[in-house]
Amino acid sequence: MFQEKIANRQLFNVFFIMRTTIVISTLPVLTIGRARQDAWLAAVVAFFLGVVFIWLLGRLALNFPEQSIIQYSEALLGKWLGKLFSLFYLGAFLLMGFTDLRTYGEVLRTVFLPETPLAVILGSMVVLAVAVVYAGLEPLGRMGDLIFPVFTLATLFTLFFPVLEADFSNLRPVLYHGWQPVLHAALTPTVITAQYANLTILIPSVNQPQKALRAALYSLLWSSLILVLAAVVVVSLLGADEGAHAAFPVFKMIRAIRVSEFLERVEVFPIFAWGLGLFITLAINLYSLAKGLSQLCRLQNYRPLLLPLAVITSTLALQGYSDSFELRLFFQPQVIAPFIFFILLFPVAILWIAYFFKRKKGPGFPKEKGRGR
Amino acid sequence: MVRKNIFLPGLLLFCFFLNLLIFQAGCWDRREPDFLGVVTAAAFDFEPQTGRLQVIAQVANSLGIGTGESGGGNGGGGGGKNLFWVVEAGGQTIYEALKNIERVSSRKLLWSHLEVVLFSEEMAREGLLPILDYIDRERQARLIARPFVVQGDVRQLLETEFPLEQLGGPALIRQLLTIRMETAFVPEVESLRRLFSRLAKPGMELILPCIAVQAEKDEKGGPESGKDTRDKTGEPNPAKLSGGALFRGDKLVGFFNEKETAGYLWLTNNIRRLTMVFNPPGEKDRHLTVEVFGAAVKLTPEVQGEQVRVHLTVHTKGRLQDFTGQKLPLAGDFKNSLNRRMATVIQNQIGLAWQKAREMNLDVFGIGHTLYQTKPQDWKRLERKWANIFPEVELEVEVQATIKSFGLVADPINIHRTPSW
Repeated sequence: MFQEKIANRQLFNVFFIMRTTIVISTLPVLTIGRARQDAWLAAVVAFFLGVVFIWLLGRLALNFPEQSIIQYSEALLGKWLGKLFSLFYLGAFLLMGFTDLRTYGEVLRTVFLPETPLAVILGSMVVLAVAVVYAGLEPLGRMGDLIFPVFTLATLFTLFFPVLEADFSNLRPVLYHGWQPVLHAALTPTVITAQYANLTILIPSVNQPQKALRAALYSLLWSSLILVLAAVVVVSLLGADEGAHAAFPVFKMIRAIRVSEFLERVEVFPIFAWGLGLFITLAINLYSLAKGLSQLCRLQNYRPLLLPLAVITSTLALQGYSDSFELRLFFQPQVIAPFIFFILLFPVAILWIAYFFKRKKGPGFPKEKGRGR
Repeated sequence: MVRKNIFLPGLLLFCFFLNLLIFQAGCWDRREPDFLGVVTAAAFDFEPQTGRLQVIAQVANSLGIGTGESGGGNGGGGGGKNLFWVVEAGGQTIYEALKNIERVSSRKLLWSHLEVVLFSEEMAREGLLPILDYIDRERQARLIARPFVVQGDVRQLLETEFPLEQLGGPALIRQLLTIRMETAFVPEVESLRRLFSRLAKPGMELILPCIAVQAEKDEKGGPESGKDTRDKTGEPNPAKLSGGALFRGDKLVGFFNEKETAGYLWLTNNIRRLTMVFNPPGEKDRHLTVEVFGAAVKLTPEVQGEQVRVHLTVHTKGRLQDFTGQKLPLAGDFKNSLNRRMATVIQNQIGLAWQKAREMNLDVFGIGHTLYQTKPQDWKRLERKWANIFPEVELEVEVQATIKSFGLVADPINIHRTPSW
């Protein structure tokens, strides 16, 4: 079957956009937990924890550069157990897809379009995402190329304007409550690194799979820098408490500044960036979901699955969370962390263990391409 | 590698544009700006007897602005429409009051261009929290609006016309900016964003700029009655911005006058310009004016057990603005003497503010906050007892003031006096 290929650069772009969008929009380092002015430290901690997470996912995938996680979990665990574990991953893609979509819907509904039905906002975004995924992975990668500069510039503008009015003394004192709240606040952004699970589906489609992990880690590095910057700017502009109460702190911040008498209301920048970023996020998750499901069912083409999955995604985005309270609750570390741990980290751990056992049996195993045993 | 079946995408695209054809002809539930009432200033008042919140909104009138007619603020003038309209409603909560306004308004009010938020003295004494929470939660309001505490009749302030401006809201902002640039009469908390951020800071109390309503009310029936024909050019500006309103938590407890506000600004390193008048050495009946431009202030707290000492160093530069002596001595001792006098004036201003805050036991200068930021370990220990410690804090002030320039001429004008015969 024809294998679509994307470049590592495109992989970097896509992951950078995906990570930055969701982490900037709700700024979990600040809004969750009590890290307050140490939110930027939480972002730094989250980066290092995220590296571990991505390495766990990515390093295993690199042992099977020709296969996606759906295929090699069958190889490692046997046909039926492997399929069972693959369902966890597909579930994770679905979950991330509809949760991110709903977050975006909440931003628009709370701030701009209070009377528009959520279904319209979410539906239009899903239609766009389906269109690009239907076209294939290569067009999706090129969309990433196209959006990346616009997205990055808009995000940087968002964070640059406030610097003029920022009061950086708000960042002091450092570690007033010690490390405990910082680690607590770092949990949610670390867990959101689960988005990099898409890597395990995309690696077979990358030009040079061996460099894919590096691209992913670089994208995490750069988006973490943006996250640190965002945390610093929001805290120094709004104050730690006001930022922590906000539903969408970056947005609250950008509305609270007056660049000059002629240039106020610069909130188009974050909204523009989030719209574009969410489009990429949703498209990638939909792609991984459809591609993974087609591999699970041994279908040649993932496209027929796309529309039903899109309908499921948008239905879940609408019905999965009944209101903005539930959405905020979901991002609390005590909810999201065990959840993601169970559906992502736990299967990966099992796969690693299986991998070590298999490798003991025969040294040539990683090169092996058999499907199921 | 051709694998495209373009039929489905084509059909989708066609349907998409078909939709545009139908719906883009016009918005089915459009709301044109001309049909909205733009609120530029809003005041919040509290009636202690009934416990009701009162919202007074100043709505810009697009009809009036278009014609350039400068009608009065209230009542229907003879000719064109007025430039703005003042509407009022009450309610148990702030949102109810806002919705009640819409019952008496022909247009939907648009709050996103709100530029000035006024709190009446009663409201401020009752506590700002209900209003602030609403503003923080609401999607239309923006934290760039500027808060003030109004001494006097709020409604009257909103109704009267500013001599040089069309609308009251922007007028107040211009006045604030002018004052902030030119002199030191109002505290620096000049946006809701700073207000919010300040309320949450440990060891720092809130201070807000203050407006005194100046327009004298006519004896009967408001300003429009009777002597309407009076020349308007001599009218006073209805608002005087001066001083600061002091809060404990979110409740108003007192005021700083202009001198105390200047002292407050010195202490918190927020001086931009300040005019000060004093006598030249040796001449009691003459005055000279010095304008301060630029100041560098450093506040360092020292903690010993439960004793807190604050060391304040002020470095400032001044400019001689007028001088009416015979001759401006260039010698060093005259200059030093002037510098010392200037430093004394500054010290007095700081002392006044310090004294008042100490009497009220109100840490508006954020001494506690400075401790929190620079000596967090000590603050952790002292935070609970801060109300007992703050009045005992010792302040040491060291002022270095230098007058840098004397302007375009050195000596004053030499008036040639013909010897009388």
